[in-house]
Amino acid sequence: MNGKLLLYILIALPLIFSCKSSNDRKANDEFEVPDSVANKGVLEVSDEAMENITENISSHIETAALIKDLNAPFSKDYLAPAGKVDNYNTNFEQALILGVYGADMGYLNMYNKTTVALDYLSSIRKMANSIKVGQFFDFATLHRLAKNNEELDSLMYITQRNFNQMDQYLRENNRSNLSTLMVAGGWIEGLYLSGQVYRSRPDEELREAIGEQKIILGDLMILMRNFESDPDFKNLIEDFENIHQLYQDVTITIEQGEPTRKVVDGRLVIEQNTKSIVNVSDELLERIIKESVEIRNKIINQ
Amino acid sequence: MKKLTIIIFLGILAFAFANVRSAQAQTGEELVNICTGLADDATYLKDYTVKLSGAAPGEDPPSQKKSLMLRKNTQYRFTICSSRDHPGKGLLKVYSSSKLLASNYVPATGKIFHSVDLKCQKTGPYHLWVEFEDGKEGLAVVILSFVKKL
Repeated sequence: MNGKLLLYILIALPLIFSCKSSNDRKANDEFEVPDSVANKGVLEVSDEAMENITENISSHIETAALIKDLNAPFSKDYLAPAGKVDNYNTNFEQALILGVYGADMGYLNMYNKTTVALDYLSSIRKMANSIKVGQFFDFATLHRLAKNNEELDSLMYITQRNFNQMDQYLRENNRSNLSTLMVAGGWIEGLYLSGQVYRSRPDEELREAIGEQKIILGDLMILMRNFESDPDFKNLIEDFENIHQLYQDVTITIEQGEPTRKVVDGRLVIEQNTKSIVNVSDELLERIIKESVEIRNKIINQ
Repeated sequence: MKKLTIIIFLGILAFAFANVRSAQAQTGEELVNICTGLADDATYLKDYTVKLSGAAPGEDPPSQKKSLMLRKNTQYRFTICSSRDHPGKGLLKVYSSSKLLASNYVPATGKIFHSVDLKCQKTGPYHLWVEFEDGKEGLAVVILSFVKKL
């Protein structure tokens, strides 16, 4: 009898231990979500469509790289203040500002401004913890890399990946509203940065980059309207609607072409010969930039 | 007593086997890290994990679609890494407006590249399709990374 009991225990042991790591992860990942954080009401856009639309909103890296490529000098004045996190008390405000800081981190990382980045990392951690996604933010590693000004590629990789993980987790856990706010905050901050750089250093490519945001804003509006029954979202949508209206006058035409393929240094390289051409007048561009300043400042000065 | 010793030995063996198995199995997370390294000097943007079961005889290979936004005047790199724990070798295809634009597989030569660069000239939504060679079961990670502005 004792032998049988021992046998059961010994067979159960490996099962218990081999499952331990996944259970631990689950315990860390699954927080109790207060009602104010979870989605309210029924979403009109399916989860799959939400995911597709969110994935369709590009990262901040391309914008930051374009700005850096213009040899535009780094300016801390362009960034949202990192020290005002205590002003953001609701999950709505915290998710929005988290998105803003994400775009600022892209800009900081691109310019290797690791000392300044430390302040932002600290604020990001606080905001991420507030909306219960801090477990995806590897603050210790990021802090070490930034402080020692080392492995800047790793710093950029971990930052970007942590933001992706936070976003994915929110979407998978019935909190797409917060994911949408992070995307909205990041988008408006990216546009704001581009606009400020354009004003100080006008450039045709940057003008196009601002104009082509019409495509991305269209998707973002779909995401946000999904939550318009929430009064805070309703107000935000109204603000974004102003800039959305301005973008209606931006025209984007497509020139068709066939792609070409070649192998360069053992790597397959495809050159797309279909081109998008963005037309936006000086006056319209300035109105868009001005509107982006208003919306962005309203968000950061809540 | 002898019986008890055998039982203990079998238990320890089962314990060790289960832990070695879990230590060796390649996770999606590990694949992301490996694949990001293979993308060389490009900057990580996003990762997509795809796990598909094998196709039944006579069926088309299962595939999975992901949406992504690419921007004009930008060179992107798609790197695909397949798990060693599954038989399938990952194939990726990038579509623009339902037209095939890029793939890591060249049908003319049968060669499969682990990465493909795309010099994007049109800002807009694109679709990434991932399937496994010969419809085998597989697990793969695709890393989208930024190479440079053009």
